Amino acid sequence: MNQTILHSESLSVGYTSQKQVIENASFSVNQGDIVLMLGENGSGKSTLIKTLAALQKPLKGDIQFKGKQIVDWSKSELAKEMALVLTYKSVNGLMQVDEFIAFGRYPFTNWLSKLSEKDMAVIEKSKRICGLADFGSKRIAELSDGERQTVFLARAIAQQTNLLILDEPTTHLDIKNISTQLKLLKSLSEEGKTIIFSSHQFELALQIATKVWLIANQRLHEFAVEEFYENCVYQQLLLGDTYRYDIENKHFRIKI
Amino acid sequence: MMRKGWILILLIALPVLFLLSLFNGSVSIPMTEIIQLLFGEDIAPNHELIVLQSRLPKAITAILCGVSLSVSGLLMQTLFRNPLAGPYLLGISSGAGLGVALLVLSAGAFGFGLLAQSSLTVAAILGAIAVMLVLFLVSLRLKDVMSLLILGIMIGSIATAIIGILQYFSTDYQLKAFLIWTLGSLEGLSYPELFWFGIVNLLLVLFAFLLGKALNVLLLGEEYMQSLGYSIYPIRLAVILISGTLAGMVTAFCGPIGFVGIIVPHLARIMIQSTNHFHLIPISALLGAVILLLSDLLCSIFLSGISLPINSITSLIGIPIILWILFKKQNISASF
Repeated sequence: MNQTILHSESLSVGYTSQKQVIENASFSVNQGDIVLMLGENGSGKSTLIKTLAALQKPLKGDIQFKGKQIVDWSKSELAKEMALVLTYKSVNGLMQVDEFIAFGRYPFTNWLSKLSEKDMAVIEKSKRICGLADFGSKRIAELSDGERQTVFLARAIAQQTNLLILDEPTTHLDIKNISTQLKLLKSLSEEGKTIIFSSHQFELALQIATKVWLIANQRLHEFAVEEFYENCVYQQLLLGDTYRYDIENKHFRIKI
Repeated sequence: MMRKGWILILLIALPVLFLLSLFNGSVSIPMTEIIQLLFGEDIAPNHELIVLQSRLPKAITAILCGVSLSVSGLLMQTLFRNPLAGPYLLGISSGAGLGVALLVLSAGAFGFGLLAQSSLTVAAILGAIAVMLVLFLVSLRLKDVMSLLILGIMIGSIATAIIGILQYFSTDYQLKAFLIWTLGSLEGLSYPELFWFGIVNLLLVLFAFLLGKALNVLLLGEEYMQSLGYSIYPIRLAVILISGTLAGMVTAFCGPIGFVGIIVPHLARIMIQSTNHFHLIPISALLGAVILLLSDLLCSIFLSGISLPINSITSLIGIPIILWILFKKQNISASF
């Protein structure tokens, strides 16, 4: 049995008590899990992600992270345990890719942010596995949206944390790069890392996930991936009436 | 490399411009005498008096103002992630202005006679501190740093409105005294004032440099900053304290000096092609000092004998520089 990383019972997240985004969510994430968060735009995926990352406080309930309440973790300790990619991607265009990825090493460097040989090696490695080996001296402003997305992932990987929380990391990527990225996430989880990510490319993302969090109507439904294919209710919750699942060919089709 | 070239130019320009501003003036004093004086040798007493009592304080004031405004502007641009942010954004200089206005324009009512420069300085410092206190208290409660920006602008507007009312009820003489203060001047600082200006300036710039790592992380936004292990409130407070005090000091001693604080950080980024504050802080400080010395020098060379208000000069020189940046291929938003 793998170690439990995140655990919560009856957690409510949102911005004010009048406006709960998700109510009474219960979930539990084990080491090595790849959790796929699904849900419509505005269903509260990003709010949940920010709550998990301790960027905002839960409205009710608490989150246990490695056996300790997330609000009790100091920011600097947490930075060594979880890395984050948010949907917000505005950054000074003058910055070089190397400099940007080096931010991932900041929790480990001194006040002058001097990079050790090990830090450099980590940066090189995360560039290499993200396919950015030749991008080091490029400036952020010169990158395409997709490349920028990948650079943000590389920064999070360079933080070398056991938990990666990624908000829509597949956005802006072409189909080839989505599958490359998903394969990368899969191999990271095989190394023992735990990944929680949201995506709208559900058909592709489901192929690597071990667990699904479906967020709909202010509820979080947690289940194993296989259940999504078997359970019409879950499909209906995510896709409405516009899709149907073709059981024989194992893919989704638009109802025409 | 281009960036090394620029740094070299700045390092040479600073002492050269400093010497030139000691040399430049209506009474001609040979450069050899000035250098002798700087090395502690005796020169003609009347020359010594001019250099030590007028030109040297002014040159030192120019350097201190340049450093303060540039570092203050850089910090504001980083905190608000906004290329148009500057030292006066948070209404601190408006607060200083209100302090001065209250003193100058109500002086008649309370029966004060002539106003000494030092009482203007004290009034300005009190005004700036009052605004900073408000910002401090509010910034601890605000989640979004942009609300702080709006608050700063509102404080500025309120201060301006009150100044307007005070002006409406004041005499011609008072109006002129206040107007002259708003035009800014690098002249008239005593050595004790320069000493304190210099010490506080040095400490604050050093403090900013020590915060370099946090300032770099701030470039990613406050959410990423937290995820990299920083709490936002102490950093916000430190940035407001450093930037506000630097801007407040300049306003108190020399009046509001425009443009330098907004353009210098941009020029520094373009020169060294970097966003790293460990490089940007020293380069901005150096460049700010050079630009203010240069502005002052250019003005007195073209208009010999007349000393124009420094605020007008920096704007006249600053606007062409902004236009030059806008029309060059390296536009501001790509480097921000």
